[in-house]
Amino acid sequence: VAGTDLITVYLTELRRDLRRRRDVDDVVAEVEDHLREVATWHVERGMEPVTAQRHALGQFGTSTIVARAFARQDHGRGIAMPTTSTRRGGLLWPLTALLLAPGFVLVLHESWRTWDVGVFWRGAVLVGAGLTALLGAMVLTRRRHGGSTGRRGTIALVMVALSVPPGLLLTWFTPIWMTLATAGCVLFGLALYEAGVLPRPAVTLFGAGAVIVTGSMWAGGPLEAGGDRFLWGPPGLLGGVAFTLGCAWLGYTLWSEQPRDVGAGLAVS
Amino acid sequence: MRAETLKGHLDLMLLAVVSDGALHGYAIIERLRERSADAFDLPEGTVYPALHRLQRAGYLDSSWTSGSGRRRRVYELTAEGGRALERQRAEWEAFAASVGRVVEGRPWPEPT
Repeated sequence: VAGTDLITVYLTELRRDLRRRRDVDDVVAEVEDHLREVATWHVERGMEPVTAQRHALGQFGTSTIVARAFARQDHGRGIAMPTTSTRRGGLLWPLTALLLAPGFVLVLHESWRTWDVGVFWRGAVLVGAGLTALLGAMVLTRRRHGGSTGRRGTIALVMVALSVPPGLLLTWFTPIWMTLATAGCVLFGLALYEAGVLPRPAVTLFGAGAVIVTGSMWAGGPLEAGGDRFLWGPPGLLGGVAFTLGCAWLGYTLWSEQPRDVGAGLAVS
Repeated sequence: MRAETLKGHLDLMLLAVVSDGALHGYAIIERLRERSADAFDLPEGTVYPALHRLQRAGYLDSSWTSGSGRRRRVYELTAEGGRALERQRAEWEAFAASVGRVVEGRPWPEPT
């Protein structure tokens, strides 16, 4: 398009990819100096300005290649871009809710009603798988945004990871793993909310839903004394729906992004 | 020549180019291209991360100048970078000589 400053567009893309680097302003200034210098060189030899910019950008490499080269030098820190794997991570978010919901029903309702060990273990496997899917979704979301969830995001991952073994093996002792996992979800949600990298209503639904479900467990007291009345009542239902919607929304956001690692070139080290 | 071939040698080449004097990124890439007679085909943008890494390693120092309404970063070799250059150059010469002897079928020198 006539009048389009391709270099400015390129620098905007590069700034977005490297935005977590502390020296992003310096990197962008340095790259701009290079690109304008090359474009000027071409213009002085008779090339049209837009064509000259296109040549300069072609020689320089796509913003993806350059951002990857920086990421490799810095062990992956500070780079934020959707890739094939982070896009697939989008599927793990709704999968989390799809696995946890029936797992809860089997462990905390059906196995109590029927006293069937097989039902209980099927539920335990679903809960363990759901927590593992949650962990995977959090890891890939964190990678997608270049570690922008910071230390809180790391602590949240550890908390959810620690909840997986008891979630599978000690499913019955719900408060042990559920509280730990919920605390991890809340911490991760807060980190995402603060970073502003994903839709905040989705993050709020996700975190608040987890808190309401776990709160319903605690509010009811021991299961043998009818402690699940809130979990299966309006509060638990509300929390479950909010958590599921939040997961689906977060997943859709990641899944709908165009991966930028397809056909990317190499970076020299 | 593929960029992959450059792996492991880019640091040496960049240090050698910058040892000529303070240069900005574009000039470094131009010198690299001239001295190699356009033999290396790599995206220019991938040289900057390597320059930044060499700076973090203490081999290069950089400063900002202003000109043509733009900020420009200029790199120069540090004393430590000079020592690293000599070390890497010696390693490269020994390596290249060894490969040359193997490829060309020349006999190894007799031990004295």
